[in-house]
Amino acid sequence: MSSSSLFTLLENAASSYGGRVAIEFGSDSLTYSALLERSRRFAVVLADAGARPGERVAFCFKKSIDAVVSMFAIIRTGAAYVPIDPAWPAERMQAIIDDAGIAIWTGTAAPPAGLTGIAKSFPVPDAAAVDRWMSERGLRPVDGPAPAPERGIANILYTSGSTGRPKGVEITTLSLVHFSAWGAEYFGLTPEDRLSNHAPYNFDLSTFDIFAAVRAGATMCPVPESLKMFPYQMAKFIADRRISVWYSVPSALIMMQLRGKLGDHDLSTLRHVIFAGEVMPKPALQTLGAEIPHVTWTNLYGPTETNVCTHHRCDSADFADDGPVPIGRAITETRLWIVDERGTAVADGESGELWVAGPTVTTGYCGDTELTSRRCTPAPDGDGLCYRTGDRVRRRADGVLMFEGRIDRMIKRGGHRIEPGEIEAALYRHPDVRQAAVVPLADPVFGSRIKACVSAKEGRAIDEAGLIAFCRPLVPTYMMPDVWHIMDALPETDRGKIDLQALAREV
Amino acid sequence: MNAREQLREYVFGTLLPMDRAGWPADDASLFDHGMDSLRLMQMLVFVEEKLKVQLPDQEVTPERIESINSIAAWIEEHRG
Repeated sequence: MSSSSLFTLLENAASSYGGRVAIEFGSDSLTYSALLERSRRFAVVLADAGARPGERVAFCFKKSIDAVVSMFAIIRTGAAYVPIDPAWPAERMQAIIDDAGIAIWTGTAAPPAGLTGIAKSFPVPDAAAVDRWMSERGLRPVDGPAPAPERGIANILYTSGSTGRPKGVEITTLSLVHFSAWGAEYFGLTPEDRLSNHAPYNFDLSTFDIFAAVRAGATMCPVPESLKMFPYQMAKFIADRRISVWYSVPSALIMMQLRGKLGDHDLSTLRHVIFAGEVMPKPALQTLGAEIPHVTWTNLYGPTETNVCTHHRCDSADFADDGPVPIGRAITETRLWIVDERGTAVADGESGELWVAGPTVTTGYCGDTELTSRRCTPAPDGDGLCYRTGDRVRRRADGVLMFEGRIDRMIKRGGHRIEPGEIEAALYRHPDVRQAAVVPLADPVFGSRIKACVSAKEGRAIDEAGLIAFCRPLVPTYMMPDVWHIMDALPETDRGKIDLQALAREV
Repeated sequence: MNAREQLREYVFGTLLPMDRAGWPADDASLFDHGMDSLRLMQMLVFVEEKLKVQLPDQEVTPERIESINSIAAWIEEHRG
């Protein structure tokens, strides 16, 4: 089936909509024909450097045209691309390079000094650089179909790991092809549409903006990182770029509602607003809906491991009542179960863990068969594997699913998934730390803020500033605790474990 | 304490806490010291509630919140 390749999506777009603008960024733009040509040329350079099925290539980009060219170039070689956020500490980058076995680097800049394992680096792969690399090596673009990636893995998305090391979720070509087909149809995308691309490349959200846009021949408009902290500028971006489909975490929307002065901007081109990645608070949705009444509001749900697996278009009843926003119903060809601790289906209306099977579900965690076998288990209907989400959900009488929380300790802060264990592991590396525990504090805009509770070893002293300085090279900024509590000793439960519930209750 | 000192105390004491001996200069970039969108929102609330200065949302730009100096100058523009 030719449509089962991601590169085919781009070839089809170039053949049907070659002269249309594929991507617009700053004062630059690229047509679909040019995007195809540029990514084919860079692919030859990468293939010459060893990129092929089974290899993993670092993809360390700020939002840019070069980033999208490089993504399709890596896809063209059959290698898997591994997004690395340029703002991550070097130690986290190194852990990912080692874990994924990366030898080739592409990025907005060269790899930071001191990283090991990178044999070949292709920084700033603009058209001139690719021309130079091609002529230095005497390379010419090749024709023929793109090779399929090994085990069908298109990319690996690293998320916070509870053991202190980030874990790599393998995302398949099938998942991205299926999800982009579903999304393009569900939102009725056409070549006239202009999609924002707000989420960082290491978020699964950003795959929708890219692959669904390409499938429809629509225009991608990446949101520069420099705007993301500035709600007024972000709202102005929607107006200036005449965005028709906006997709982001709820906190970006809430920031625009609170401080973006939505009434100042002409948002008449907007027709769909999509949010995912964390819970959208109902009061915020109601206010947004009143301020931008002419658009549809859609909640997409799914952990990275399942890509998007459910959807809910908000209707008038959602805006009228004060209950939580549903996560909705399964997307096409996706099966869902709500089960108890023994894996038995719960009675109708009861809450339980959500298990998911279908084309968008991951094949597992890169290099971690033990974790994979714990989370990806035989589906209850006997048809392949399902993913155990760790999310607690309930089916409402009308059939839609309601998200009720986690069965483990994972925290969401501004849509970022954070395992308290990763921060605690960093704190325990401090020579003077005796106990460390990380708990969430509820926040109306960002879902949660992070509180770290720490005690010192006998005869040692620790303080907030010293702990922050110690953690900074180890954990990304988005994981840095917002509130610190230095205690003589952390409270314990009857069974001698740190009492997390007591810590979460203290302010 | 004047507004600049209160701002500095808040930013380096509470928002992006660090060892007082190592507090950056007033022209140092806050983006290099962990400023992110959540912390920026908290800082704006601090300026409005504690310093009693209303900062227009449309003026929130990277240049204005770059450093203690630039924020202090911006606050000065809007003092009643």
